[in-house]
Amino acid sequence: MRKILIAILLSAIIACNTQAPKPADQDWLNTPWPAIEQAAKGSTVHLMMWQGDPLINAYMAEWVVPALKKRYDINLDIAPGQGTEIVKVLLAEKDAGKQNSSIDLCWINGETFFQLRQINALYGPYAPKLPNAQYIDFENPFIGIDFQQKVEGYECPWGNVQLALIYDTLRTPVPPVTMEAFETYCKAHSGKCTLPYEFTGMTLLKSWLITLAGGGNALDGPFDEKRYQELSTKLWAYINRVKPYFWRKGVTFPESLAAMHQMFANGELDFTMSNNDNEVDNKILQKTFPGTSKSFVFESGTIQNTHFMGIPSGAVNKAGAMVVVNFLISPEAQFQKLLPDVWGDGTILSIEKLPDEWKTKFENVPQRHNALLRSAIQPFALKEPAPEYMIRLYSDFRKFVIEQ
Amino acid sequence: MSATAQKNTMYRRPQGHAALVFFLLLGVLPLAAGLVYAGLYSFGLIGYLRAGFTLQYWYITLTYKALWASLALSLGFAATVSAVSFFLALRCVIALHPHLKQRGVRFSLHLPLALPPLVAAFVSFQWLGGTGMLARGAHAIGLIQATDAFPVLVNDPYYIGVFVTLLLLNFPFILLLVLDQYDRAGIPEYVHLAATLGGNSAQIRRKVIQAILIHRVLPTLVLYTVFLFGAFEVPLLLGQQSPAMISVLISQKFSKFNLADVPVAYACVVLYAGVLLVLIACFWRWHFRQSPNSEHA
Repeated sequence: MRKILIAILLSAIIACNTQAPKPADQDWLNTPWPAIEQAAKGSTVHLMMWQGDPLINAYMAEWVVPALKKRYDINLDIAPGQGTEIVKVLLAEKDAGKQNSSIDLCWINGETFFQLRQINALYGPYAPKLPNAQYIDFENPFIGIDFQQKVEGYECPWGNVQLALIYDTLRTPVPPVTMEAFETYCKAHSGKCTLPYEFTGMTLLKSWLITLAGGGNALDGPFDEKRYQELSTKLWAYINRVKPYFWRKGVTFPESLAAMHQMFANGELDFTMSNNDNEVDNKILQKTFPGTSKSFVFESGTIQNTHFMGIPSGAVNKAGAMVVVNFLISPEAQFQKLLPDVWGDGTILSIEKLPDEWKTKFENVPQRHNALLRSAIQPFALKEPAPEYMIRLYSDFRKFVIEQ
Repeated sequence: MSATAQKNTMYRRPQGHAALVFFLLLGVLPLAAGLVYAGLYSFGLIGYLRAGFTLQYWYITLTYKALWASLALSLGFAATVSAVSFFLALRCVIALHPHLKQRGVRFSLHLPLALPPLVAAFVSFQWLGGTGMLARGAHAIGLIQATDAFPVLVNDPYYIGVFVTLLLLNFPFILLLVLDQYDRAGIPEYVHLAATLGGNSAQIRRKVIQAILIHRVLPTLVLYTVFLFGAFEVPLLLGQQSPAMISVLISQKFSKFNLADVPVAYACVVLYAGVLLVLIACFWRWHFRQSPNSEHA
């Protein structure tokens, strides 16, 4: 027994002393692109992304993964995990002083970008290096600025969506398209409305905060504490006025969008919502929502949000990650993703910058079915305010609404 | 040689020492290290975003009313589920002892143990939800005019859905535990003896069966309460946000959008562990005083 114990202790000591392989510290930002592709050949890229939607999962598993293998001999290994989980993993690695990250690539958006930049966990500026970045208009404020932060090449845009609410035309022939109409509707249909206490719900609150601020660009620029106090007071007053008519009398709120979708599908709620403006078509296609479902946005606007691909600063396979991102922003991959029956995710490519062949294809993309056309909701798009607004709204929603 | 002496001899053997070292290395050290890490993090002494020693995270934690409400809720809830499970199990064992010993019945009691809490929570949601199967059934037979009229049983302020689900998950385990102790303690012999001495059935049930089983099961029941105190999946899905069960609240502190909340979450973890350790220590102290010669001592 003593021998076994000694053997285990020795093994543990040896394991602790084993030198981890050094991170790939080559200067990929100044390496010619063909050399990056060559280095990526035969490698595995570990991608962490949200995997909560069957259509998105199918696009990645059945289209992207085989295409990467065939064209670049890259194995794309996808692990589930979204914003806060990615931050947790990378922060834990930073805390532990780990040089090699377990993630090579991650799907992020503004609030995660903000957190990862705080802990210097992102590699860059890599986006301008990608050959297909030539088709992206970084001057577009919905693309080049993420939650009021300049992207500066530390993340590469992948898709663009706008918050939309979803309703069933049989139950709600005329959807409420203003905050006042929404309040009236809730009071007339007690228990049939709510909002989720998660990212999408907070995006709706941000949209309303901008509306209360006067709409449009009213909350552009850095976080303004005084302004926030003034506007959030109005927002909590509005929500607390409607709260008694919310689902479960506003005592509790759904913790996930999936739960809200389910309650909408079985008739418990009259509305659900999504950050993907094409979600209604996706869910009808999956037979989750009734075929009479449609989407709408508020007249005062809803947040339009770009989602990005980030490479952790400790990524072992940076070359492979860059090749994967370059493929994901290629006209071909973006077009496939845009198809309503595939994912319906808005493209981040500037159609004017595309070669003629692709320009024609993008201009003749199959129409959406029940989701509003992107061209119809674009005039109602609001920019994401600074990330601190979301952080404060999240904690204050608990304090001033849930715990009231 | 007495049992105690035999036990002492065993621990003097090399195998006894090795087992103790194994236990300390694999069971105690990682947990202790985790708590020390959490403590240092909560004082701002470690972590990538550390800014030096500070008490501000502890000040936030200790003045966070929702945390104390969550601790009280979790403790009360865990104790209630354990107590109800135990007394139900006790009644079942007294009333159905011969039947419960049948192989088929005993096997069926193990089935809920194979159900992960997350799955159990989803099943409860499908049954008890506003448009769940019970609501639809009640509507179909005309008990309610619309499924909306069905009482709120999930995400409800009284934690009914969570209570029912945890009870269904835990009751079979407690029942098996009580059944096992009933057999081991030789209860039928004591019952026979008490009856011979003139005890009536109520006295025998209360002063013999119940007293012996409570004494034998209590330590395990307390540890099980500690386990329930940290229940996560079921309250996450079926509970409500305020007050939330303590594990759900801490998880939210760890995983939401504010990095400044991470040290606060670690402080909550230390507080949570501290409260539990104090309660466990108090229980054992009380238990040893009650029965200094018990086998657990």
